[in-house]
Amino acid sequence: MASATPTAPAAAPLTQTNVDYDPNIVIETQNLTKVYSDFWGRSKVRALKGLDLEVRKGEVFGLLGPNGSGKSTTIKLLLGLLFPSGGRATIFGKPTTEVSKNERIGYLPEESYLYRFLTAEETLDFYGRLFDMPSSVRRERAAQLIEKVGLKWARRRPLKEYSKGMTRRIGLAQALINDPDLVLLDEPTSGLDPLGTREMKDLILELKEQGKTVVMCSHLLADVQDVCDRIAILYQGELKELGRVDELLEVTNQQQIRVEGLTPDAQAKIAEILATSGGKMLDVSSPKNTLENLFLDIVRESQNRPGARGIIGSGDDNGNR
Amino acid sequence: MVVEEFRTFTDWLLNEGALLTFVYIMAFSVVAGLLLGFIVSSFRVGPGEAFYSVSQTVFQAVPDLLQMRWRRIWAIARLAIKENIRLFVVTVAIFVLALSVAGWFIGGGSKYPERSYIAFLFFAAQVLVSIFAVLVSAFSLPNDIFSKTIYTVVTKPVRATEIVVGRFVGFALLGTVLLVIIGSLSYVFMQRGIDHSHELSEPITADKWLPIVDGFTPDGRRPFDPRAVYESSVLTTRNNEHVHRIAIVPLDGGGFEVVADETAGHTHDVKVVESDPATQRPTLVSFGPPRGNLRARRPIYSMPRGDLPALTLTDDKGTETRGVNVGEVWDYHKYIQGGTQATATFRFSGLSPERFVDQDSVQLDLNLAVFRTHIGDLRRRIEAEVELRNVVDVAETETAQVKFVKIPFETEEFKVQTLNIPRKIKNGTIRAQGQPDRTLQELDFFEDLASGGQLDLIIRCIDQKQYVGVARASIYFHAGDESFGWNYARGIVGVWAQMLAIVALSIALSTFLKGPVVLIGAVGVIVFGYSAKFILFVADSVLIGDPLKNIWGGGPLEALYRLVYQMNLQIPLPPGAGTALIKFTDAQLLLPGMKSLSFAVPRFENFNLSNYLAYGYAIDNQLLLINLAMALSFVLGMMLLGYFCFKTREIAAA
Repeated sequence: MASATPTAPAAAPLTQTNVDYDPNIVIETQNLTKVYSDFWGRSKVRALKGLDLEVRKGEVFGLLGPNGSGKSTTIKLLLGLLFPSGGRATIFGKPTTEVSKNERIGYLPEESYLYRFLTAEETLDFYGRLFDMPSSVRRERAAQLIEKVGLKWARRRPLKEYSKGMTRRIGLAQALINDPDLVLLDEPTSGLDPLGTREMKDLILELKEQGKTVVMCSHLLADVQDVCDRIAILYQGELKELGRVDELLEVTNQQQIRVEGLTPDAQAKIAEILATSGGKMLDVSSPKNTLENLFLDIVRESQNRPGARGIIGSGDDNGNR
Repeated sequence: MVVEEFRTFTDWLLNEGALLTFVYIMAFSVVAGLLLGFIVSSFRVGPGEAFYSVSQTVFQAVPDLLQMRWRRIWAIARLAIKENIRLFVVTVAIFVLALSVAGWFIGGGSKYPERSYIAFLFFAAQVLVSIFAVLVSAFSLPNDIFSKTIYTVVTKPVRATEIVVGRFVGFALLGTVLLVIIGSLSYVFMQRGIDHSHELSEPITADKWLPIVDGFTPDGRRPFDPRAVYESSVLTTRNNEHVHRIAIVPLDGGGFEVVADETAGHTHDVKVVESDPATQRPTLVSFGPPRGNLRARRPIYSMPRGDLPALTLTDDKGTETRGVNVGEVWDYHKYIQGGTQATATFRFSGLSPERFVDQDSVQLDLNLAVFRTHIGDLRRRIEAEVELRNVVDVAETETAQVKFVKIPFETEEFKVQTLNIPRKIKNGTIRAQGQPDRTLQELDFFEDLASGGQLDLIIRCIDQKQYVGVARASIYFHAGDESFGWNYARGIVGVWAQMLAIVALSIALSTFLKGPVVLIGAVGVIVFGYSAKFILFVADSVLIGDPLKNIWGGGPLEALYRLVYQMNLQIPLPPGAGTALIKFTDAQLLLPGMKSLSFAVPRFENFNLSNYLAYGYAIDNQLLLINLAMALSFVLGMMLLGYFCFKTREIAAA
């Protein structure tokens, strides 16, 4: 993907009526709950249980969790595609059912649900019209985004002829058509090849540099680890972990020493002569766990001890965090 | 008969309560919808939260309506069009295929082929366009929800109003273009189908021209044209399953013209090619294209005048009556007895010279029925008389002069009979109170008889023991003809109005039902709309009473019971608790419910205006306005229903 940053007319400022609105909080949920019911109103599945969350302006926020953990439900509740059974959620201080909030949001769904009979140009023109963009702006913006996602060569082909990766790219382009302040990405790297995945992650970081807020949910933990500032881990509709990625992955009861210029002999004796060796100490810090280990630990612990929160943070059997 | 609707738009809207009914239905629907929403929400989230949700929905409706943007509506409309362009092409192809096959069957052997053409073409257009409208609009939104493409739409700043209205605009446009194509193809197809000419089956020699003596041909027939002096025994070639006779008619200024009779609803202009030098009678003629089969007569019907109805009948004693019952046909025609004082008085208003194309004469069209109680003289038709009389103000009865003229004529059944009344009428009569009647040399139709635009037209049957049947639409002044093409387009507008109603209905249902269910629901509502008049009739006969026993078999539950037990409609149900329950459910629940619903659903049969075209009458603008208002009010109701259903629907829960 090219790195040129497309320009689009700034979204009209929303009329803010919420006196408690903090402009640094983009998304806020309080005790957000979703229960799926059957036709007769009987509860079937409790998909989300009392989620309290804040996403701050300018951060890349990851929602993690196994299948059925409530990630997609959270995204759908935030977008107004579902109505909460309890609690509340706001985006830019507005209730999620308020249509005007969508003027500042870009959304890439999991499967790029697009109209397959439209070409890439027609697709972007269609979504541009939905933002009430004038014709000239739509044309310019569509051309820039098609260039950006690398589909210029296929811009006049109907989407039904696109591969999955190409569809993801045009899906991303439609999500950015309005130059949104908040981008919600559902499995953004799904269906992309390694190169495409790298480009997607670069784009997310680029969006962050531009001051945009990005919320993504993904199964690909390495991707989340690479780009997210903070993450929330959900399991069976409950929030299990929330925090900065670097803090969550830190093993607090261990230290690691990075040294330079040691001889092989010195390496053998390093444990006992650390203080007197001739080596130069560069760094002493805690080693990092991988997000994958952290995630799997949380899932295992949640299965063993349902309902508990922050169990990993308190350390494992070996005293590791 | 074609015309049975004489309402003006204002009458329909205000006097007949259409506006009030609309307001009632809308108000009831809104209140019922909110109440239902509140009850359902209360069960799910409790009454407090439910009240908040319902209030929020109501308050959000205002910005959703006011902040609609044409660009977004048009985007959704364009998408709807692109989505269905293939089905559009297929529908046009099916219609073209149907036309190519239909040409083998339509019109053959029919006395009025244009009626067969119009009936078939309008039926085909209505069915195809209705199926198309239901198919495109029933599946679009459910498919979007099923495939989740709707996610990328509703997460943009698009309002539920725009999604519903945008789809309506798109499908309505597609349907409109389809109707224009179908209408144009039909028109050309019909014109080509009925266009024909004739030749003489053999040359006419002098002896083949039969002289008319005392109004009869030598073989004892009445000539087809009363002015004719010769009628040819040579007929035309058979073309389009009919032949014509020709006759020689002398002209006032000398010379003559050859005319063809009216067969199969038309005649032909005849041009003399060769004549016999000795007798000057034509020996070879050529025929022009058919004339008079595709027309749009602009009638001026009788209208109520103050408290007086448009048509009043009196019996043989001069007393006002409903007319004589001569059997089954009584319902439509009202009969007056011949050779008595019995009359039928038609009251006309708005007769001004500007409304008439021909300024030298006024054309009166009669479409009378005749009932014979004895054979009489078979060579003569039943004689009747039309009296034209000026209208005198009741306050001036003593001083005013009544001017009238009587025109005897022979009735012609089963066709539109025309009386040409010259504007300057000879031998009129003037009558003033206390003075003997005076004969006037000349009366001016507009100045003396229809002064102020008002005129009374009185019909009497002259032949004793014979009866003449009249209805309000039987007699009208023929102001002129409109372009048939334009009239055809107005007929298509009726189909268009129906298409709009069906599109709106299907879209509204598709906001909360799946595609196949929408299809069934829409068809159900359309059938209900077609049957609304009958349902109302049944409901009234059970709820109010039906002393004439026009309807047998009770309400729907009783009818179902009779069906299951194969019970004759006229046998009473066995007494007992079951019968009481059936009758109670019918009378208290089903029939009132169906009756109320019948007011909320358009009368779909009213949208079919093809009879006007088939019988050659201009479609009244007032009728067109009523149809359009009926369709648009239904569209408005459906748009509101669709909006609220879509707005309160959890898109991702589907």
